[in-house]
Amino acid sequence: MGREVDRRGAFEELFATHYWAVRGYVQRRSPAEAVEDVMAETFLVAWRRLDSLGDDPLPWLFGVARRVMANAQRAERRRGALAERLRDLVGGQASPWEPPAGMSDELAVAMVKLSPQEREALLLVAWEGLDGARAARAVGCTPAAFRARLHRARRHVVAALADPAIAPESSIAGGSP
Amino acid sequence: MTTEERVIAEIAEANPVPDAAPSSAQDRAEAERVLQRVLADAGSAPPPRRSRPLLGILAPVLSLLVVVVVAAVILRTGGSSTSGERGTSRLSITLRAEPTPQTPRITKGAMSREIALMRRRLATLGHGFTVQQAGATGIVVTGPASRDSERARVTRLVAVSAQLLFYDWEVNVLTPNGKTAAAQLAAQSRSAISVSQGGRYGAGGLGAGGMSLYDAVKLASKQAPLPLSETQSRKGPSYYLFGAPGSAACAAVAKIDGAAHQQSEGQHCLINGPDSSLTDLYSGLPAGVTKADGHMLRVPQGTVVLQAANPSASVQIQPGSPDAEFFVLRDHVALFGSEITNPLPSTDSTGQPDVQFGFNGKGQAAFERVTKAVSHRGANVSVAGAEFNQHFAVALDGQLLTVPQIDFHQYPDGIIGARGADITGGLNPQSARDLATELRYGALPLAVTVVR
Repeated sequence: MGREVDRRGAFEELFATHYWAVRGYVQRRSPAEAVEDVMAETFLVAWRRLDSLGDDPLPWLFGVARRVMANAQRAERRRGALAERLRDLVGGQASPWEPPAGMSDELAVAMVKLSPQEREALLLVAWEGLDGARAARAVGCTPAAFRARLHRARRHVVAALADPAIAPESSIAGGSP
Repeated sequence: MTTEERVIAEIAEANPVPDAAPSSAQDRAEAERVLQRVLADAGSAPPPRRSRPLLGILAPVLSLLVVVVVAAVILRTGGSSTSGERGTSRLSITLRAEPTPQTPRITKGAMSREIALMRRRLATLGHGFTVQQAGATGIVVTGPASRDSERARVTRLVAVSAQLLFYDWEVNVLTPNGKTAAAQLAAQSRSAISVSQGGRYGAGGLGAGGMSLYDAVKLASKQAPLPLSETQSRKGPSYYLFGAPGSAACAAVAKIDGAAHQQSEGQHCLINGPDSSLTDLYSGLPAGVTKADGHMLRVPQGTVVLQAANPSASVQIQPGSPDAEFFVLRDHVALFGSEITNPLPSTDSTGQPDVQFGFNGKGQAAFERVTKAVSHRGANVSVAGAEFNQHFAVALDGQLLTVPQIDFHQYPDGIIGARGADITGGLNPQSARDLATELRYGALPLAVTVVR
């Protein structure tokens, strides 16, 4: 009984510490209506593996969530209007990944053209803020392999951005009356 | 120059959920439902009834608990801890971030900026310092300093605001040949135009004629020392110690600093510095590295090295990153941060985010003088259909914050400062708030309290 209480306590601490970070990860990659189910499935796996989690379980939790989402997507592929348009732009290839609304069309096309592994490498760094070693744990590869994957992804995106937009330059002006 | 940070920055800007913290009661209720589902599916004993959702109760407690646990782990794994074996005991400072009137909510983004700025400051002390978030509001700083004076210095660096500096950009920034951009614009020098007119991220940003830290410091070290004047930001020289590409010293530095500070192949690495004395420079070198392993460069009084502006508010490029770029400037400050007043985020007449601020008497006179000079220069160098608006640089903690241009058509005789000034363009609402906060406090978006 005491061991069960300890386990519950450890799990609740894990949950409270990492729930929002994992939820953000899932929200960025999954339809809103699927988030709760993915989170429940992810943390159920965490409960089962609770005794083998290391000091830094967040990358591992991202990896579990990614696999849960992949399973869900295999069951129900959701495509929106932008994905349809992008599919046309990239030559009719279907992509299960939908770019966020705030992403420029040029970058969205470049991202859609990436392999899922390359895209996830970029997103783990840009959106989740993971360094190479932690991101490698999240996707289950070596740091060296992750660095190579990230390098390839960046190179492909740069190549695809054929005509980059010029960011508006800041200027200084007199104050308003 | 690599394009890593540019690509990452653009993707980060499009993050559909930039702040994953709970924003509503529904979010918290969802978390509670998920927890109950997991416990039920796991076959755990039914949870005790609670009058409040679990996370609502646990969050503050766990937050503090995590601070203590992380601090304990770091202390335990930090080497000699308090024992002082071999004279290399480590310090650990636990801080708690607190909201300010300008940053009323502690968000993930605010914590990220806070920690990035602390790391940038600690980088000036050399290597081996770590700054880690612990829980929602905790920050733990560890590093190789044992004496009380060193602890005080570290505490001051991570908890005290810094001074803002404003420069006439083209008159002060040097191109690789050691001449100012302004001196070469009339001849339409390619490197001068690149530094003056900028690239994808504008003047003073990435891809705008900046160089590696080693190249920048090397160029700066070749400048003649200038007599001390009240327009300089720094008194005396500053010293840097670099390791040769591929050297054992660089390997030792990379091992300490980890992937974030690894140098590109073929580039010198920064072993220590900048420091104001050689004694400081040669103290606290990585284990196994001596001063003989490095190449010391001395930047004389009157010249400064500034890191290029970050490509966006959400992307902080560390000085040790292979993607970091630097500019060399003559240290002739036009306006100090203490001479501006009441910076606020706002919107311009077209509804675009901007930052407005005023001046005290001395600041107003200085602002009018420098903007007049900048504007006249813009008109003078814009000939034969080529328009080269000139710029005004804002720097903080050794890095450019923004380098806005002054439209010489709109302000042919500079900007009258009586009604203050607006920095506009290239800002979103969040980055405008950040810039206003940095202008106001010179630094940290959140207040910090030393817990222990």
